[in-house]
Amino acid sequence: MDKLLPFLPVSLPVLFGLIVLLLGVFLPLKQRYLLPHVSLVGVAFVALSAIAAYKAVAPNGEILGGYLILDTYSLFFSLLLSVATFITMLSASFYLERDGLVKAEFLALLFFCLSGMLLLASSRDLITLFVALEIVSMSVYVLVGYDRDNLKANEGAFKYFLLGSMASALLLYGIALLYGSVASTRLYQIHSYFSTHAHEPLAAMGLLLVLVGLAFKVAAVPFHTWSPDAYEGASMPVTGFMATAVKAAVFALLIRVLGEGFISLKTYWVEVVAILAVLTMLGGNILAYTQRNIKRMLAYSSIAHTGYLLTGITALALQPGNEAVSALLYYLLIYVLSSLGIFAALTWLSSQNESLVQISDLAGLGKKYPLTALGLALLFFSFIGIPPLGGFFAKYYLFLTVLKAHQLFLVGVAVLASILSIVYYLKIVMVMYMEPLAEHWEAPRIRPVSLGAVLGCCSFAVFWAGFAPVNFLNVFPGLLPLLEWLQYTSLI
Amino acid sequence: MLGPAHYLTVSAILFFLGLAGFISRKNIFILFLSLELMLNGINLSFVAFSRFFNQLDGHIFVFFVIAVAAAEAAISLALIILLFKNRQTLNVDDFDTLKG
Repeated sequence: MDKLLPFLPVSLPVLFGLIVLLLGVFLPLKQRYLLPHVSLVGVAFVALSAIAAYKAVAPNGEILGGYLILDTYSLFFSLLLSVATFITMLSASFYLERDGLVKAEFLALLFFCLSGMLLLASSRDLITLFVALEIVSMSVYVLVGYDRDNLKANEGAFKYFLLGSMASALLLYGIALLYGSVASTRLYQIHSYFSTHAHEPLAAMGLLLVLVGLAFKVAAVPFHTWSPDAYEGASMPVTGFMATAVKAAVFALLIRVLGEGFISLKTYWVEVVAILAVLTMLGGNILAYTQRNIKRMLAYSSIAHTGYLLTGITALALQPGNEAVSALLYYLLIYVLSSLGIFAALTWLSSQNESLVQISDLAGLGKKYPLTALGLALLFFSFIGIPPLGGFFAKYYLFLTVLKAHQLFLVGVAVLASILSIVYYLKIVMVMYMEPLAEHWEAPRIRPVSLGAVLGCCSFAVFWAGFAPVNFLNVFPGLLPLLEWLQYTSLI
Repeated sequence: MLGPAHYLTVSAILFFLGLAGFISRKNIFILFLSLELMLNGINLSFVAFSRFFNQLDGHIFVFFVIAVAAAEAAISLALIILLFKNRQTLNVDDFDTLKG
């Protein structure tokens, strides 16, 4: 059992996925409503097993001869991704019930995706990283196109699939060239090889291809074109899943690969990432401003947040110490929690009102559903970075680490981009509170107790992060280096 | 005598042919075919490197890539059938309902 424990977090989701599929076939129709409940319990078990596995192999953490590692970094991501999957399942059960879509496959795909994401968070080898990334991508391609008869869903899934698989091919060719110059796929061997050997053109080319492939996967401008289409085509819970869990998982990969494997090649990638970050921040924020469709707006807003995170990644290369990684994790945590809250609320609202497509459809929400509107407004304020909220501190700490790495220009652009973002986030809040109620709202069909609780918890977390930062940083694994650094420089 | 350089040249040619086809063609099937061509080019370079280093890592990677390509084929064929059923066309330029 001790030997098997470390593999539980990756294999349990597969097991639960299969169980859910079988239950979907063999349960009588009347009892099918139990499926989401079973899945929610399953995800809770996965999160618990991640903690147990981490405790079982600490402090070394290496398993499978170094192919996988269970450290605080992977524990952080395992918990974050489990929470995101949990909330997605919760909101999906609302949404799918309305549309009469069969649930078992949907939940099973979420489980398979979770397994891939957990593998991604803990792998230290390019083979496992690639396979995990593909498990995640393939499950999400299918999830985006899950609503089979919806033309938009078809098209979104198709575009996502085409560009996603081309990105995988580029990434894979890059990996092949790196393997060709290092003769190993282990991240730490790649690191030690390049810290002693000369950098050949083959390796530089491989690195560039890997970067382009990953830029596609995180949707960095100019490789972002698939993302608004896929977000718009997908159903609301899946859009939320892509904006939170999938994005966090790809960043887990990016931080691990660039920060651990390619750190000795940093002369090549720092400037590329910096250029991508500038383009992504400006492009995301400017394009978000022009959107009327709420999902597309959120897609561009998530691209903008990708840009802020990319600035943090340049800090990873230029300064030693873990606080840069920690600041990135903190930003991801706040970003994922706020997005989960927003998407939970939007899922509930769109399950009440099928025509919730445009931002203007939210008109008058402040009067109709005051609590939901308040929660949404709070989370959007946190996205902007209004001071007492968590989003402000996330940006503040992240930009501090970037400043410490002497990237003054990047921080300037990031602050400018944050100011630009005020316009479109405030527009939503204005529409909710200042405009008269749109006619198409009906009396609530379902009581949204659980999704309301999600929105409440996310808003509370954003508050908590803002008002008691020390307390908040202590609770989550992986954030300790940031706390220590902040205390050392007496910023807290 | 054939050295690794020859294999790598062939693999690069295959990859970039695939990439060029992927960028320039309009039919979904040809796009998908180009994608497979790219993956096979990559496989060839993995095997060539692996043989050159006298290692097994590259060979193992190729098996994973083949499995991934098979899964990709399953999904893409399902998507193609779905798209054709709903739209009666396989031209990429006709899929333009999502814009902005």
